Amino acid sequence: MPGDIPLEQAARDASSFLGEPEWLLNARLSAVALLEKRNGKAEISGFRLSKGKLHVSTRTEGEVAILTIAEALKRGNALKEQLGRPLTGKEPDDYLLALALFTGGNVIAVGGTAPASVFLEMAGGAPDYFATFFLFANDSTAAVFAKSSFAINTHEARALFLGRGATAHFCALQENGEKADTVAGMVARLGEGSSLKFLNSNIGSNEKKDGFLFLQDGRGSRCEHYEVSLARGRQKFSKSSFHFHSAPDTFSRSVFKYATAGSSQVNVDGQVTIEQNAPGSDTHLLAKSLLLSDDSMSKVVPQLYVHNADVAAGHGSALTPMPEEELFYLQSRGVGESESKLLVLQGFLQDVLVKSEIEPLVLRTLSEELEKDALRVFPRD
Amino acid sequence: MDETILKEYGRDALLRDAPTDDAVLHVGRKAQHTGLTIDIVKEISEVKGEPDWMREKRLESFRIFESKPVPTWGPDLSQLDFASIVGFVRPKGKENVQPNKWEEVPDEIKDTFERLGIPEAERKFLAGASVQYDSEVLYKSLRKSMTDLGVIFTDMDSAVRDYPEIVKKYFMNKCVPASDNKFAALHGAFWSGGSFVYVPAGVKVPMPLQIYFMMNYPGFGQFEHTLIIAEEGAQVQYIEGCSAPHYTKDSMHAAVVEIFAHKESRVRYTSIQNWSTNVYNLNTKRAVVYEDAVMEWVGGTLGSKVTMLYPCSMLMGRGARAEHLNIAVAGAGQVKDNGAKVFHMASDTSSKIVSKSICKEGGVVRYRGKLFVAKNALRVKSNVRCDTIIVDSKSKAETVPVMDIRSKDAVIGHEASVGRISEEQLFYLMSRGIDAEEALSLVVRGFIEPIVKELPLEYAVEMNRLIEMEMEGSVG
Amino acid sequence: MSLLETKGLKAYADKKEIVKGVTLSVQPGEVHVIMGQNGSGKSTLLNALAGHPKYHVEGSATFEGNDLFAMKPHERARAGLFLAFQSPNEVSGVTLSAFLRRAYVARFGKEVSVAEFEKIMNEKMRLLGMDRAFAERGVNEGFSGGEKKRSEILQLAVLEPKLAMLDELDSGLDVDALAKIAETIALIRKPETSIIIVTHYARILKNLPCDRVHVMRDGKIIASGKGELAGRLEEKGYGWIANAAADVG
Repeated sequence: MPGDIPLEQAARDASSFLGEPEWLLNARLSAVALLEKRNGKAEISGFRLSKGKLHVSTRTEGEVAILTIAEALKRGNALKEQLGRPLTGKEPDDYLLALALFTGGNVIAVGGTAPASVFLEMAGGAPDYFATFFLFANDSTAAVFAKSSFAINTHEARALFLGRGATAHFCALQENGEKADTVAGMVARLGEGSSLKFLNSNIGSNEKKDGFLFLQDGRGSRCEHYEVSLARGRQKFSKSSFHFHSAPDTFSRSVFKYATAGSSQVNVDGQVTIEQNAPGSDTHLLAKSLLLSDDSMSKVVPQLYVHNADVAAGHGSALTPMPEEELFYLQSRGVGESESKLLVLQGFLQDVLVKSEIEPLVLRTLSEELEKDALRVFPRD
Repeated sequence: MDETILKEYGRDALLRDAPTDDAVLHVGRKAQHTGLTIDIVKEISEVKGEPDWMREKRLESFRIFESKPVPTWGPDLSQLDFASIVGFVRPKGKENVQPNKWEEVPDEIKDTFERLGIPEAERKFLAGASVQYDSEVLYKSLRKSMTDLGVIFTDMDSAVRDYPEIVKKYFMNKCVPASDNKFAALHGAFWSGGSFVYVPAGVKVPMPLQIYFMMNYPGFGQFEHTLIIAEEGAQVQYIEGCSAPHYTKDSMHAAVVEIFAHKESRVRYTSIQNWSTNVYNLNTKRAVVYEDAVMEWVGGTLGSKVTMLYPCSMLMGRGARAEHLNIAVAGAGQVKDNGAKVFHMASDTSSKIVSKSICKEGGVVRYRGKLFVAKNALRVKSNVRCDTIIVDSKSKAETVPVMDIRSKDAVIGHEASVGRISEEQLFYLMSRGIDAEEALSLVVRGFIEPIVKELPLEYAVEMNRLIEMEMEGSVG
Repeated sequence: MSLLETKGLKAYADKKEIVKGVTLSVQPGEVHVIMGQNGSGKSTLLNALAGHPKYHVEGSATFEGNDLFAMKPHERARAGLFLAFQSPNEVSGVTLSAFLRRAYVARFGKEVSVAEFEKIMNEKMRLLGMDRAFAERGVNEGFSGGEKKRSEILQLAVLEPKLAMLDELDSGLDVDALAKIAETIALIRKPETSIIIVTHYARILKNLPCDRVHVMRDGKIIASGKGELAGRLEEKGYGWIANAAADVG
């Protein structure tokens, strides 16, 4: 089709548009190569070279720097150290695409050892492809709340790089417009002894596609991944999450909870792989779905690939309808029909939040938003 | 497969992700020149003296076989040599079957016979070194007692000839049509032998039908077709195979089992295989389960180089129930790609799946499950439990269950675990004076107990012994 | 006017008839005890009155003159009916205090702020000798048997129903705990609060004077009488009652 350019060309254009150093161009090209190896040669249509006007409002405490990518590149080698590393081949497609083509974005760098916090809200004016890189320096401690509110279709590459011994509590809330189709690809790389608690939730969006990679190639790293969402109306949420254990003594826990109302659909693909060089791995994945309506659908595929014998690995998946007994119990205390369903739904979603033990500071806003969202499905009566 | 379901969901929606998907051909041109031609198919039909309708089915199947690529979503099948089966599909009478030479049978197989205490006569049979098995008498009396009950129990070839109305109605129609997957199509063209069991309404067959003893069985054929029909209220148990190793020169088996469990009937199908490690064992086994009927699949897959086996229960009638119990062991160079598929197409249906696997010395064990609950199926319950013992880090254990739920009135649970044999358990037993080896065998027995307890005694004993042998030396 | 009046009340679970025609009349302020062996239908009777979705009912029941069966479960609760369950459900993710506040608002039809409700709840908890932290746990989540009962009683105290139906609140309790429960009930009830207690044992009556004792067997009330009927029942066993007839004493 006219206006279509090969992916590689688009990546080069984007790189030169931003005036990037060679290593970053190479990173983009590796992403293209990997994508094409998986899916064949690709072309992109209507690719716009525009930095966009991404609104980023932030509130920080502690040693935090919020920079545009251009600024970060001038500031030293931290970004190069992480992004310049060769790709592992496990990155999700959506991450690779946005990495190849981003024309704008930010870097959030956390340093020091005292607890730092970041409240970040990105709204409006994003370029079609943008990137957000989080750098957590060695031994740093951070709590992050990152909210995205877009009314238009967007495509984001997000990366969390945790240095040795770093600890991060990260709450991500995507609260996009009802018509927006949003795609996000994320890579989290956990350095030795680091620890990440990551909670992701969607509200709004029409179609939401998330691909996550949690790479535990640092010995002794710990990773907890929580997903909590309520899908309403005609929403379609697709999530694919990959946890790779490729170093000894790594720990991961994934808990996914979805409630589907209206004629929404949730597709969850949760893969955990323990490579041969990862003895002492301890992993568990739990996916729980609550179907609230006749027309909604849930498809869950938890996958477990174990290539080492010195492990404790398991997964579980459960799907239940609204529990009749619980509803009656609440109603027998005068709570109305719709409200009793609301309470059970809120309980189902909040349960994960409480058990995650993520810093209340960053958890609170997300918790409130979820409560409000549940009210859209079951108004008080 | 019922037209109504197909219409509502489309074939893809139902079978997508299920091991009957068409996938990109990557095997290359080599696989296309199989040496299998439509003429061979015609020849087979003619030699068997089959009616036109069966010949037509074979030809149609062959056309489908040629049009489908080799699936690539599963284990590596690139080494599959279709040409090698040509020599074996040519039909031959019992007289023309060449038994294997006992001297050629691998030592380790002979060793296993010894250790399992298999009687001499059986050993030769299992090794394919003899075509006759000295139980002619036993078999004859079994057949007679079946006839007395009104049960038809015969080989598939004879059934085509003697009971055409029944066979035509059920054979590769609504259960496993040739279009289902490439190996079903291959089977449809070249099938030969197998059993036909028809149980009339209300008849409860008192003893299990053990196919191991069937005489009219030209060895353990490659493309057996088993068709079991249980009419309303009937009950039957069918057991095939055995856990002692089978030595065969055949390199590919593509059997098909079709089971129809009509209203309120109960069918249990037990299958244990331990093929020699040159065999690609690619089967399609499926049951259609009607109102308030119960289908039980009990299996042990021990041998072969590659086994792809996903027994499938289609719960079509209200209150239908399925239970799948399976043990799989994968040793050096082996791949066990197995699982269970259950389609809940009606309300009040329930399913239970228990899969216990062991992989060691580089073996690969995979559980691939598909659970589908249709939109209007209410009060559906399903529970899957999938545990794997991985003995060493050369081996691989993988679990890939797909749960596609479209009804809000369903209670579904799935749990899987992978790990070594529990050191704590072993230590506990040893601290009570039990030696290491015995402790291991106790723990392993406990692990497979849910399945073994459903096997008839002789099989259970053999299975336990065999698995113990497999596990020897795997601790410490 | 009776508080609760039932006539020929039948309850079915899945086509099976469990309560086979119960006629009962409870006045404001009265304490009724229903005794009977397992399977006699006592619990089912209470659950059916509360509107459990599992039971299909026939016959009639009125609450303060209004058709009880025409009301949904939450409407019955708001009208002042309360059932203390034998095995209360866990509702994870919802704190007891949050839940109770909603129920309170529903019961008394007026909004109350979180702070105000805190005060009300604290007072009741103090009265009952309960630890404040109890209220911040998920409803019955991980509660022991005894804790679940305390949770039910706390709810009873906060919601001040007109008719409290207690389903085997005393099961599994020793003499002291039993006395405590009875004391608590006596403490929190108002003169016009009616109570229906379902129990196996007459022990609870030592601490809680009752107006009427009913004995149920096989889905029906086979005997009704004054308090001492319970004592005689304890002495002579259920067999005795089965042989005697309806109203004794």
